Amino acid sequence: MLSGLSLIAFTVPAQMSEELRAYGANLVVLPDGSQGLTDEQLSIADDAVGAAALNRAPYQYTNLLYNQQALPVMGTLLDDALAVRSYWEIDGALPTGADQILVGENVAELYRFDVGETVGLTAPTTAEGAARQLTVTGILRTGGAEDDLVVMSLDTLKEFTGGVTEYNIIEYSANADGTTLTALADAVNARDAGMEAEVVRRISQTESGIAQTLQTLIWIVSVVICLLTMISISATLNAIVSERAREIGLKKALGALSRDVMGEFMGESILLGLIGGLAGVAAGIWIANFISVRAFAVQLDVNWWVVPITLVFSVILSLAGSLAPVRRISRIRPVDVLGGE
Amino acid sequence: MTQNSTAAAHPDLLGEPIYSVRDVSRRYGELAALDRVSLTIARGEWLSIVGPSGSGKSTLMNILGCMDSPTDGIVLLEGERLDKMGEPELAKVRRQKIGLIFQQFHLVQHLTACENVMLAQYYHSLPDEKEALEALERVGMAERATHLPRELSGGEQQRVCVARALINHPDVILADEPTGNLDEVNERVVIDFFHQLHDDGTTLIVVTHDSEVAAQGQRQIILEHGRIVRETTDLSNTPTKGKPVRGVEAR
Repeated sequence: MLSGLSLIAFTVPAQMSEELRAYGANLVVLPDGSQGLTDEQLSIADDAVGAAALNRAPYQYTNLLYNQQALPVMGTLLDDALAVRSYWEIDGALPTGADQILVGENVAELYRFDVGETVGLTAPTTAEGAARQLTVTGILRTGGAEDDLVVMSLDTLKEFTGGVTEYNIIEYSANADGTTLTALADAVNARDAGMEAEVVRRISQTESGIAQTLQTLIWIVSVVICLLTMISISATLNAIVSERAREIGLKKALGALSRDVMGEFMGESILLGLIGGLAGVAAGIWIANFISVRAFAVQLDVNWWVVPITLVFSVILSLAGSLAPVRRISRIRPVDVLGGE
Repeated sequence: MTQNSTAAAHPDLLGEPIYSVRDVSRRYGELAALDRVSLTIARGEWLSIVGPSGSGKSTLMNILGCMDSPTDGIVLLEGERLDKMGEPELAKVRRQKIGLIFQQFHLVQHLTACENVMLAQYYHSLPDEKEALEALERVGMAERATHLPRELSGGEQQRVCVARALINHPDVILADEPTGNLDEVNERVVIDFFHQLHDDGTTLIVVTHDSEVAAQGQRQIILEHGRIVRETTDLSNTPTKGKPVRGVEAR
């Protein structure tokens, strides 16, 4: 059981870290001033974050007009954005052409847009009547701010902004814990390139919080299991010592010292601990894999160092559990257990 | 020739003493299991200790067998003070000088007859299977050497117990009701065996209820309420070999 819990404690948090990447970016880069970020700054940020970035997406926000009403629009690299924000649900499909868009759930409801419909959008500076017709390929459901946006590719957005691309935010999904993320943000800021990197505390803290909670829980369960195991070993050996009191008394009557008989029992404990440990390791790996697959949908990556550690631990537990019963052996007197008046 | 006495023996009138017991008491709270018992046992002697239940005979045997210590008095075995010894020293005396035979046999149930004999060797020196088999052969149990105690009759188990008591060539054999659980045939086998040991010069101390078994010894002491109330000696049981023992009338 302990070997199984150890495997879960050390393997699952790493797996969960990857799972949590699905809940969005954990590092964002914003412009230092009122100006947006350029492609050059994007490259500098990419360079600073380096290989830690699993996914990255830049976003540009603006307002376009629909029937003379302002409609918030987000331009992005759609595939990259979907990789970073994998929680997006799209009724329909991602736009593949320059004349296609996604509309947020709330926008679709407000303006009664549906998949396949054409929406005429104009830039605020464009003369009335020159609206560009774009086809809705999907309704975006996120439960977040995207539900109030029209989402399109950066190339499509360029047609409204006169070819100007200025990112308002760059999102990174990095494979790193809180400390490493802070170091990555510092690395970006150190470039002094007119941008500011921030760690998304919500995600990084949730990740470390869950991992810490899981590990703390497993440690508590492990300690309880250790105590219960020791009590169980102690009770079993106590019963064995009582059951074999005559044999112990006989050995002493034949000239054995208390320490000789105690040594024999300790030897038996070590042997039982080793056998139990081996059986426990096999069962533990199977149970850990079962829990891992069922609860976390992850095939367990078995760390084989768990085997010797579990065996050593089993022996230590057996010895610790047998200390009290074995001490009783010294109090068994042949005269008390071999009959007499 | 039989002589009766009312109390303990005079040590100076016996042969070379192996045990010397002087004013030994064993008390359990207010109860005195033994009350100022004095006794000398000569080397090579066959002493029978008899008396009703609760008379203190097993207590006396436990003290002589180094399994218990007196609360008062002096016990000497080959000149060494047993009453002053701690448990480790008593254990050493047990394994080197004493062979024990019990009424309940006390064989380890998961060991074979041979292994039970070797158990005594294990704590004495080194287990030697050949020697253990020879000991079993001596008691007519060689063919049952690989049998577990539960596969043996009571008489056979007692013979294994005798082989175990003999394996380390002890100076003294202490037997507590050795025939108590045996039928007549097996009782005869064990008694005959005791005669052989006695003839070989082994000191035998036998606690028994059975007057016939007690009569096999050269001397009987009768205990009542923790005291020696009578002592009888029968020199006709003097062994053909070994040192003869002279009976004594005590105070």
